[in-house]
Amino acid sequence: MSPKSTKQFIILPSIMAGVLAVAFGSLVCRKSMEGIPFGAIPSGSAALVYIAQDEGFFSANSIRVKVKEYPTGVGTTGALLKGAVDIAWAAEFPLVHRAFANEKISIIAALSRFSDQYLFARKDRGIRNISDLKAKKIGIPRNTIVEFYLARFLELNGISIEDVSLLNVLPPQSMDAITSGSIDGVVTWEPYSSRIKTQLAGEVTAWPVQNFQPGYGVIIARNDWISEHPERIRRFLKSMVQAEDYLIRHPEASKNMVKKRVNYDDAFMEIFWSENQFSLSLDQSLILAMEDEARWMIRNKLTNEKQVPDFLNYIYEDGLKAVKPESVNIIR
Amino acid sequence: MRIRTQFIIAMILFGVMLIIVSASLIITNGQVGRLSKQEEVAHGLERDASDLGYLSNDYLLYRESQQHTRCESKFSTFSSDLSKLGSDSPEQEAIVNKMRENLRRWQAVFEEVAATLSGESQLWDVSAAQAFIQVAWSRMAVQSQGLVFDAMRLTELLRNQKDRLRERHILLIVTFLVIFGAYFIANYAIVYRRTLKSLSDLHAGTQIIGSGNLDYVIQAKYRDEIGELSHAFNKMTANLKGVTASKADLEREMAQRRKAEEALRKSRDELEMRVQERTAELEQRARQLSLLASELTLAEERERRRLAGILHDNLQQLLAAAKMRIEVLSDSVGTEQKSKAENILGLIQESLKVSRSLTAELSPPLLQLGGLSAALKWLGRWMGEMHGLKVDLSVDSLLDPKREDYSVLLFQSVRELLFNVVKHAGVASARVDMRKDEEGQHRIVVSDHGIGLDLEAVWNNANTGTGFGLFSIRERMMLIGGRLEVESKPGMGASFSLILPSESTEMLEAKAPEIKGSTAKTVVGPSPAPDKRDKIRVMLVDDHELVREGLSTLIGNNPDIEIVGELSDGEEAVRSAREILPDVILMDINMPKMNGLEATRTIHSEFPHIRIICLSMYEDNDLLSAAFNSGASAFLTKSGSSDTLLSAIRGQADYGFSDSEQQ
Repeated sequence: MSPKSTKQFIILPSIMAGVLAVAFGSLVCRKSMEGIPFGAIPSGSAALVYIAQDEGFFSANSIRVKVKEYPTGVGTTGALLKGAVDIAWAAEFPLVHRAFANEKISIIAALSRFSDQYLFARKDRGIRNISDLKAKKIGIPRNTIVEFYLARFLELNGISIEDVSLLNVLPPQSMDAITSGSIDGVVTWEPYSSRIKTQLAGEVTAWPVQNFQPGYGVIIARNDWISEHPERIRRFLKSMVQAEDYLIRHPEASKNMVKKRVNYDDAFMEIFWSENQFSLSLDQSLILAMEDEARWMIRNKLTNEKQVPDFLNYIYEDGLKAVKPESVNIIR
Repeated sequence: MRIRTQFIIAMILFGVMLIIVSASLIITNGQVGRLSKQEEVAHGLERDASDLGYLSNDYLLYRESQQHTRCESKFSTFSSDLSKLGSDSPEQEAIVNKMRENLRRWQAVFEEVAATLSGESQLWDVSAAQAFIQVAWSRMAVQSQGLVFDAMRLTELLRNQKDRLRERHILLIVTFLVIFGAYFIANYAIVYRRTLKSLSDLHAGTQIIGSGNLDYVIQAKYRDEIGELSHAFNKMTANLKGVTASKADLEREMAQRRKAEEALRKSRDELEMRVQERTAELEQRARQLSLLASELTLAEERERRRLAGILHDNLQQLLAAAKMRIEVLSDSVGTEQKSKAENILGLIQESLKVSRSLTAELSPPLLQLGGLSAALKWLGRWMGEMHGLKVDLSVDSLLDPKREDYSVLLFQSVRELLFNVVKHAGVASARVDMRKDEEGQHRIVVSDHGIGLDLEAVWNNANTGTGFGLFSIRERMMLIGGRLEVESKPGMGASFSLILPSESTEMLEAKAPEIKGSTAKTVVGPSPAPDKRDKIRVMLVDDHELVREGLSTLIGNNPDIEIVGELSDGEEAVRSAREILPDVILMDINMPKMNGLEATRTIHSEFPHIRIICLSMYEDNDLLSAAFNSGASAFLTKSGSSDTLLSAIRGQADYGFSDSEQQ
């Protein structure tokens, strides 16, 4: 064997071994990064998820979150139940709705509280006061918490929900719907509400419809998935805790991240930031809110059930307790 | 880095650490105190939130004004307490803001509910009222529960912050302690590596050097104090090496010197041996020389005595005989011849006088006849007569040496010393004492009050032979076992002590008693009256035949005198005297075998009636005294006139007294 062939005999296997090692290492790494499809609506309410993604907290906790956007929480919970996503962001109301259907899902944590839902009514339709809403066509994303808020709003102002005509208008279509005049009014949330405020400032009358009651932006998972992936949930929640800490400590940077994700302008971003509270929690007020909503559904015959579900069965505390025990305060 | 610098850095670090830890402690205590206060406020908010929930429910149920008032009061308290909370951390600020928002919502809901209840409640039916109350309760409960939850979270947060602060503080202290400990460990490692190791190397090096390997060089690894010490050691070792080399040279030199000294010592020993040999030889020679000197002295004295004897025994006797013959002849010749004869007698008398003087100078006869003391007395008179030196004598004949040679030596020494006085002392008097000192030694002291002596110069000169003859005297004294002591200072006179050896001081006990006085007058004591005879029977005793013949001729011409015997020495005289029993004996003093004095003493002791007239060539009072002390009746000189002799014979024969003042 010549020296040249000897050299090749040594070098070639070495290169091959190196390539194999890199490939194997890549596979191992890829396998160790657990993927979590996450269903969200295109709103800043899921700010912690966006921050965790952008700041690499998910990667740091060996999970890879892929955000899938849906127009409403009903859509995200539907995707969750279909298995399209493992974790879904939604307001608490879709879960109340699903609880009556006895779906096997649980709230893992509340990520935020929001108060960004407004009722816009066209002035040219003679709507100046709340009482003018009677017999008007109001577009809302049906079966969402908007329906509850609007009903409560009308109720507290002496109008029954049955006095208005409800049309299903998803938030992304809210601007078009109210502009086109197909409806007299529309209830929507950010960022659509701010767009309507801005663009139809003189043409619409706006009322906050949440009646000082914040909505809870919760993350929900199927019970079976929860039981199968408690560690993955822990890592996800740990990422959320890190994101919350980052948001508290770096509010401006957090705003910029969210702004880029949902395409908010600066002025709206400040409004949005003041209308939302971003904090991981599982507290009794959430239970109270869901029970209130459940009673409302029963009373308005939105469900055939007569009994408020025990929402403690729809709360999975262990995940949050593992990473932020002080945020859990559920009375059992 | 120097050890001092390391120490300073360590101290500075320690000081900085103390300052930081102290400051941290102070700051942390302040922060913990502030957090504790806020925690208390948060606890109060928890109670306030619960109270709000309770009071709002109470109001919903009973709608009484006091409940409304209590709710508003509690709300004010809650707001007030909430405003007390700071915003020390973003988390705290977020929660506080959240609580403010919830409180605002609760207030809004409560006021809305209160307004509803106070305005329209009477219009509602029971079911509507119940529904309203339920909704209102739910709305307020959500808010109040949120407040409670947030207050609890705030409390928990503050507690956690406080705990974290404490933990951070402890961590800070621990960190500093660890850092400081690490620094000390590192410093120790450095010190060990750089200092202890260097010290160990230095110690090992010093041991190697101490074992004698002065070529060993201690490696100085660092430029610190130990490095400087190592350099100093190396320099000292180099110097020590040089010193050791010098020491080796010195030792070699010392060894050479020792060898040289040994050689010198051997040479010295050899030299000393040679010197001893030479000294012994010289001493031997000195002894020989001393003996020789002594012999020479004795020989001189013998020669003196021989010459004196020749003069005395021959010349003087001849002259005396001639004088006697001429005297006899002059009696038988005429006047003219008689006058010539008398002239001849005058010349003979003068010759005798000169001869006697020369004899005395050569060897005083008294030294032999009367001993040292008598000779010294003669010497004193002689020095006065011949040299004008007045000599005061204090002598004792009992102290005279027995040995003649000693007497001769002492006499000559005294004579030389007196000559020195005459020549050098510059005085006209001297003193001679012969006595026994306190130590029992017999000494003869010659002293004067002259100009004195520089003894050192004298002895130096004595060694060169110009020391007044003192060296010779000293040597002679040493030869007989005695010594010479000289005491003198310039201007203070001089004293020369001739000290006899003790074994040599045996005195002449049996010697005749000292002659009292030196008078020339002689008194002849009474003696038994001889028988009356016609002639005076005279026995002549003289060792010189010519003298005897002269005397016989001189005396024989006188009819009243009969020569009954002529004898030539003392012993014959004694024997003949016993046989002959003469009337008068003319006894010469100087004779062989037994001198005239001894023979006189013997005969006089046996035959006191025999008159003995001593004859001598010397005119000396001491000799005269000695003769009388021996028993002589008269003492005459041979140079005297014949008439004097005949008168003396007749006077002795007539038993009368004869006042002879013989000269």
